[in-house]
Amino acid sequence: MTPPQINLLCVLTLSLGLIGSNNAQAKSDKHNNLKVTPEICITSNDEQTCEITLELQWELSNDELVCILSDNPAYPKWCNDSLNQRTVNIKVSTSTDIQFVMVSKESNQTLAGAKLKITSASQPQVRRRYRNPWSLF
Amino acid sequence: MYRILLILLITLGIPLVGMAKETCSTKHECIEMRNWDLGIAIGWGQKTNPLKDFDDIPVFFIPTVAYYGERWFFDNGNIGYSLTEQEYFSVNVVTSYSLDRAYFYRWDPSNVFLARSSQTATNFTDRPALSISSEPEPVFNSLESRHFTMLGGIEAFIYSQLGTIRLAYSHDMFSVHSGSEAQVKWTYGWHVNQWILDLSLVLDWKSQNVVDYYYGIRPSENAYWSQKYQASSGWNKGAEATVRYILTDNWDLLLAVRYTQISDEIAASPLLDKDYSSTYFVGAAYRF
Repeated sequence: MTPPQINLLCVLTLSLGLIGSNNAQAKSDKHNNLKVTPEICITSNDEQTCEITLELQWELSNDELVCILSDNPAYPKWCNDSLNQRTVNIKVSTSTDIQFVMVSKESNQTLAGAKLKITSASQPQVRRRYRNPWSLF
Repeated sequence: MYRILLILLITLGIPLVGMAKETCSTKHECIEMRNWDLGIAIGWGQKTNPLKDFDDIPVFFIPTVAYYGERWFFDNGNIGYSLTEQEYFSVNVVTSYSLDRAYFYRWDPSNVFLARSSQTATNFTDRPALSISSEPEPVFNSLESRHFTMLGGIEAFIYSQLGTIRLAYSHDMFSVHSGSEAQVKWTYGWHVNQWILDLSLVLDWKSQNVVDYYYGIRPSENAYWSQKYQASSGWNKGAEATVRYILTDNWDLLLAVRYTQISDEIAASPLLDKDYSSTYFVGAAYRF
């Protein structure tokens, strides 16, 4: 297994952990929040790749150092070194959604997640249909 | 088989005339490229069977399956290749299948998903036919098989404000009957608010080989009538209407009716006791 695959597996595992968290945990994590800005990037007909600088901003119920991972191998794990740092900017170039997960640097426990969604502004290509779909035989 | 190869060679060999970028304007006459279009209509309907002693054919649901690529397309059993697609006309090489066999067989593609056989009363010898002449009654032994075949040919569409005209010619690709068919069809569509209405008038020509294969009498079926009835080419005339009421993006209410006046040349066959076939269907259609 290559390092990017391990990274992806790690993110997927953490994501599943987020989904599977029970209500009690959700209540205890209600002050942990990770926000990606912008949340949506719209690609055009000419430019299918989204090249943008993202701001990741987080809030924590308890001050602690965190790491941020993504499911895109191009953006490996990033960790902060200061409790005062609550944002980070990253440049991305992607044509697919990116899921970010914030974990505790110390315990590796999942704290919050955020997703950058890539949407195409181009209309689907259409052409004339030659048969009436409901024509009777 | 050589005809298939010929059609393929013609298809691939013909220089590409060109494809207009915008060839359809309204949603209901367009299809998204490179995406399967699947749907099913559920309801109730019936197709009358002009064959003597054959049951009418109930219609409980109608499937629709289509896939359109850049030039190739598959649409409800028809495979086609667009040679040119312009604002005012299109030309396609296309396959189709005959509708005539559907009167004889339950699992003919035209009868897909029908509830019961159209051949549940084929014991011709048990039922004397209505005969008003001095000729022997058309009583038959078991009918010989009418095999399935695909037709291959060319179709052209002409688009105008007065509607769409389809001109088509196709020939038996598998030498089952070695016959040909042609069609002239005029279709006009209305789209008002949630209502979509398509009205068509159609002329279907069938060559002598086609008429003879499906409606001619084989010697083993009845020696007298195999000599007496001599098939010849003929034109069927028909009208059809499809009315849709759009409920949601996925759901439509659907009413479809069709009437075909069978040509005199075919209606003269002793296999038939009606010179028409009518079909109706009413139900709800779901597009996936």
